[in-house]
Parts: sequence; C-alpha cells; structure tokens
Amino acid sequence: MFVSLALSAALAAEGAVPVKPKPVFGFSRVDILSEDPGFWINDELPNILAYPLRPTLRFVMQVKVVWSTPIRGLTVGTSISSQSVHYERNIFGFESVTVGAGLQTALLLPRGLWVDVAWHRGPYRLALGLSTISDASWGNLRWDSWRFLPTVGVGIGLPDAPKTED
Amino acid sequence: MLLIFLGCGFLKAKDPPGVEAHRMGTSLFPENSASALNNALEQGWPAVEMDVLLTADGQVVVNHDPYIESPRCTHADGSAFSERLWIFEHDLADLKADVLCGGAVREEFPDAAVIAEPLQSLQEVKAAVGSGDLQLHLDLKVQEGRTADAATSAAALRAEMADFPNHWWVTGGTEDVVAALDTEDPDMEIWLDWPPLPADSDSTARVLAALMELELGTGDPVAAARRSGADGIGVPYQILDLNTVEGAESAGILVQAWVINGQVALDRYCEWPIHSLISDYPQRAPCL
Repeated sequence: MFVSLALSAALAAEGAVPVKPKPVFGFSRVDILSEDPGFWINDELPNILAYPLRPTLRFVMQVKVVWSTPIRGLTVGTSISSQSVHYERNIFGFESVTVGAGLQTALLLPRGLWVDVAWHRGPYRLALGLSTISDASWGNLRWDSWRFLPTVGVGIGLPDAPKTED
Repeated sequence: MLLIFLGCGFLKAKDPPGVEAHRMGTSLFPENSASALNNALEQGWPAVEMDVLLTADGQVVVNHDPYIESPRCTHADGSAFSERLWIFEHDLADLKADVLCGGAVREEFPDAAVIAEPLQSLQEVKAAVGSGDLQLHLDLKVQEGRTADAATSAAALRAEMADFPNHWWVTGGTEDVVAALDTEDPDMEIWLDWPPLPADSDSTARVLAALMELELGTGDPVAAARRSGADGIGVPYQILDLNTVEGAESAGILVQAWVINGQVALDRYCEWPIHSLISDYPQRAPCL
C-alpha cells in the first residue's frame, strides 16, 4: 500500500495522469427495481392489493443482476423476466449523472427499448426512464402492439464497480 | 411528481367491463340451477355463464362436470351416488328423472340456498330467459372419452341456439374445441379459455405454471386465440396482466377475467380495460 502511494505521489509530482483500472466483465450491481420491461411498477404495483401473489412473484422475477463489460458504460442485465443490454455515459460534466439507452429482450428475443437518466451515488443508482415494449414473444413473433411506459430503476452495486463512461 | 410520472403507463378503461354471474350466480343458489337462473332474471343481471355438454341422446344439458356425483347430487330418492355417473352415457330424460343436484351445503358458499333440483336442459334455459335481456355465455365442456367429441358438441350447440334472440357466445376450453366451433359456424362468437385446464387437474398449479409461461414468453394467450380463430380469451385474473390486455386489444381480441370474488379485486378489475369479468358474487361488482 505504501509502495503504491509513493508511486502515485511520484507520478503526480511529474504531472502524469493516474491510470484507471481497465473495466472487465464482472458483477456490477443488482437492480432491486429494474427499468425493463417496466411492467411491475406500472401494472403490478397499482393492483397489489387486488391479488398480492402475482405482483410478489413478478417482483422477484424482475430483480436484475447487472454485469459490467470491457466497454466502459456498457452493461448486460439478466432477470427471469428480461435480459438487457444498456449503455450509459456522463452528461453535463456531472460524474454522478448519466444518460443511457438499452435494448430489452425476453428469452433473448428483442422486444423493446428504453432510455433513462440515472443518478449515481456510491453503490446506489436511481434511474428514471421511458420504455417502449412490444408484446412479442417466441410464441407470438409479432411486433405490432407497443406500449410506452415510464420506468424507475433502483440498483445497489459494488462501490468500485466501473459504471460510467468518463 | 413520481405518481404523475407513473400515471402515464396505466391503461384506463374506456367503458367498465361487463359482469357475468359465474354458473348463473353460484354464491346465492346451487350452481347452474333453475333457481340460480330465476334469481339472475329477477336481479336484472346482464349476463350469466353456464356450463353445457351433451347427453347420450344429443341433448344439451347444463352441468359443470361431465359427471354426476355426491354429495352435490343424489338420486331422486335422496340416496347418494356410489360412483360417478357419466352424463354422456345417459339420455336427458333419464337424467332428469333420477338426478337431483344442489341439495347439499357447499363449504365455499355456506350462505347459498340449498335446493335439490333436476338438471336443466339448454332448452329450458332458453324458455326461462324468453325474450328478455339476459345474455348467455355457454362454456362448452368437451373431454376426450368422457363427453361427445368437439365436432358433435359444436353442431348440437349451434342447432340448439339457432333461434335464441339474445346475445350469446360460447367458450371452448381448448384450441381444438374452438376450431370445431369455428368450423361449425364461423359467425359464432367464440372464446378460448387460457390456459387449458385438463379435467381433474390441480388448477392452482396449472395457473402458476401459466404465470411462468407468460413471464418467460413461452406461453401467450393472445397467440393461442389468433391460432384458433377465437374472438375472445378468458384468462384467470390471477395471471392476467395489462400487457396481455393491450396485446389482445391491438389484435382485435376481447378479454375476460375470471373468477373474481374478493371486493378489493372486484373494485380494481372493474377499472381494467377488459371486455368483461366473471364472478360468483356479481352483486358485489361496482361495475354491475
């Protein structure tokens, strides 16, 4: 530790830019509330008192594990309900605010897209977005019915997991 | 702000759903009985759902199961059936002469009237309804080896209902039954129940399995309706989601949720953008 501190100090003294660790494929965070497909917060939550079991099961199914990739800002997410590829980057010069877009699939069949704005603080990520999703499935290969849903994403990750584009 | 933001995605009903009395209103009177039908007529309910199947002589009788058994039913002398009596093995006249149903208290509806009555034929139902406003939803029961086949059942039903003046429609429990009904008369309004529930199966397990199929995208009631040519789909409310409703609407397929009994659920589903809902307690539905 002292060696690395000394090395960093020496490099800083010479005006060198500290090298950030290269992003790799690995665990990034868990989205307790995932933005895709967005059904839970729009459809299930308002009906939770009418029949609690389905919203509860669907809540569990939408919890998403998000994985970082070698491309900074690009993540892959997997839940029972959905799989996704999402890219986000900083905006307005703010490190803690990102804008992003993603593709969502069901059993790897593309069925929708979403865009979002996210706020990052430490291991936490809160996102607001807009999802557009079709009713396509492997049993119904049609993309002729689309819904536009506002989405909310709440994620908790590793403190040092690479998240955003510089 | 968040609530306003979230409000955009929720589909709101243009018109409230229609309400059907399940098995003619089984929470108050014996299921599928003349008493239940008379009550529906007196209450002015808009529609009743009933189960129909064929007897040995090709008559359409009203009964949920393809068999008669105790304690729900007894012989005319009050004695219990020692084993199941299969309806398709007996003529209508014999069934009416020796079967009384509804004379036992039911656990699920302890406050319902207990009245032992003969089975109703569809002809008798039509006569009782007359030219009033009551609409009929016929759930055609077809079970291989235990009822008449789909084609025979469809033909008999169509012939029986040819002169009925009120709005009526028929549900098939499987895509094959729907296809047979459509072949018999493409102009008939035909619905498909999804998921298919085999007789004597564990319906709770099947519904939960269907929920997983929906979630994973391996099962799709709208696709099933399209394949079979159904005009509508009936889906258990436990698994019906607004995405399915939206997909059905864009495909021009009507949607019904069944069987909704709790007050909270009825209040909620009366606001859904669906065609109709079925309840054992139609009197509780705010959209009645």
